[in-house]
Amino acid sequence: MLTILSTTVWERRRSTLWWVLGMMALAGLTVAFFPSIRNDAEAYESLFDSMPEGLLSVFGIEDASTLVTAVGLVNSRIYSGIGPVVLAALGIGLGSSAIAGEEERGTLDLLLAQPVTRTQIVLGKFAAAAIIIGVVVLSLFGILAILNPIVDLDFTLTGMVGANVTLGLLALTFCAFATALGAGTGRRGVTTGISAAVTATFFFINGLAPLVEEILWMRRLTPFYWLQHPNPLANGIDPAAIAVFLGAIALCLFVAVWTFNRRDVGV
Amino acid sequence: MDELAIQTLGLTKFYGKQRGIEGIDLAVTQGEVFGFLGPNGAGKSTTIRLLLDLIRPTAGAASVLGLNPRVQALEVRRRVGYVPGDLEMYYHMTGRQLCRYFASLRGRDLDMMASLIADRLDLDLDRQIGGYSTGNRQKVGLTQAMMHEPEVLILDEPTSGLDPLVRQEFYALVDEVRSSGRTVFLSSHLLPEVERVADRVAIVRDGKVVVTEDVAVLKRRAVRRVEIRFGHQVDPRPFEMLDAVHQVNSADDQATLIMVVEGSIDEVIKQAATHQVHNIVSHDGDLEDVFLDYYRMEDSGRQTDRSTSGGTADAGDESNPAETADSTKSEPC
Repeated sequence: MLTILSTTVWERRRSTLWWVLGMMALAGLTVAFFPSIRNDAEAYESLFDSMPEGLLSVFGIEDASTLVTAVGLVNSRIYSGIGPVVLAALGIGLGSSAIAGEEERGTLDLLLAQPVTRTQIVLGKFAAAAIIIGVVVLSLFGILAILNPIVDLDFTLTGMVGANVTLGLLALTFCAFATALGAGTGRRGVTTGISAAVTATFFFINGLAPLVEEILWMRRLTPFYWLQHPNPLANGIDPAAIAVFLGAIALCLFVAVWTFNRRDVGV
Repeated sequence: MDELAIQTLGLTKFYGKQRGIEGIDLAVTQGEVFGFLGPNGAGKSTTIRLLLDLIRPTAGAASVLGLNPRVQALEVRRRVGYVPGDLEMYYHMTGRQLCRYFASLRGRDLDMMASLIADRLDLDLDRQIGGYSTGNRQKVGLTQAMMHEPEVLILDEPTSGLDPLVRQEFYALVDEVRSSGRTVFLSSHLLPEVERVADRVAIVRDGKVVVTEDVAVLKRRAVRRVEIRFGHQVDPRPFEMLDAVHQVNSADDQATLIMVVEGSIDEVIKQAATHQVHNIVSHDGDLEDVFLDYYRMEDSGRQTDRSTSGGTADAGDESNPAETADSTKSEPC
């Protein structure tokens, strides 16, 4: 299992580096806007006030006035706007290539002729994905930790740890979902497509639910709700949210192992 | 050493309603090279993938070294080496990286063995697999299957893409595996290949084993298909009378005879010499068809009736004899 883990990470070393650079650029650019926003706080506040509430909600902005604070800005951009979607994409990519990718490449036959169980392959591949996601999230944490004192962002350590752990768990949840779908179907395209559709649905339910009374309860079913429960960048880790993510991951992995062990491979 | 290397009992696999294999019975003893012969689509790969627990049987059972491939999958894989029929590999790895990866999954350091086998197959392990030719990929497949000296080697069309010289080296490797008391289960669609390396052969057709026979017996029979094109129409009956001839088919033009001959073709040549002969061709590539016809004939009491001779498998040959005579599979006598 350790061999599968290390080989998978090694296979992905280049793409992981690009992910790291991309996330750092996103964080850097977001923070770079902060000083100008801070200086023109009033103007921005009235700008956001004039925007429709629904639009802001979909983009993860619940209270426009918080946007002019560093926590509000970084949180809305990186930890509830673009960031989660991008990291969900990373997780889905890793998850769908874990089993389905290997199967479609035709290499699964050869791998399964070695003394490894199917369970070990699923868990080894998932552990590798966890490490890659961990590296990407850690680099995001790193760049914010460096910029924090330089730009006077006033982030707390617990806030930064909380936000990044939660973000990583969100990516892992989508990764586990795609892993299960791929392990069950063996088809990468189908897996990626369905996972992306599910992600988009979750994202919009979470964004629109606050505006529509009837579907407000559905928010709790989306990982994006638990990502911001309640704003970990400001408040640190929330145990309930962590439990929800870990539970969802465990459930997905169980389904992945169960279905993969019970089906024909490569037909 | 008492267990059979491979045993299947009524092994059956359906893909939905489509039949993969049906009722395959095999008993491969340890230390033998067993040929599994049949055309593409006959069910060879299906059988092999069932042995490795890649797919699960619809009915029947299989065992490898007395172990259940499903329940004792790890133990089976530890003791087996496998080259898949559709060989796909990690293209960004070098051959050596792939061998190291798999060796590490076996918890062993097999660098020496891998290099040894690769050298014999004339393979450079230090290039990326993506840049290899089909033949070189096949060599990597063979290297990873053989490097841990498995008790049972399961090879699905292992020589496809290999050039003749490397093939010979591969046959030598198989011979060595046999002399060390280990087992080789080799699928192929080439009878000459099976004749060269195997002790016994099972011929599969349409998902079923039609014949299991010692290769020595097959060789002794030396059955072949001979096609003679004459300058004019020829009466097939005198040929049917000959001892060595088991079956005669006339082509549409009545000037070409296709016959199954066992043993010496001397009397056939002499009989043919009474006519004007344009060409004589002896087919090698589709010999197992000949064998199948032959065995079918034995079943029905060695008939030489033209109307019953010839199976569906060689219908193409019959309808267009002139083309087969020029095809690359044929060798002039």
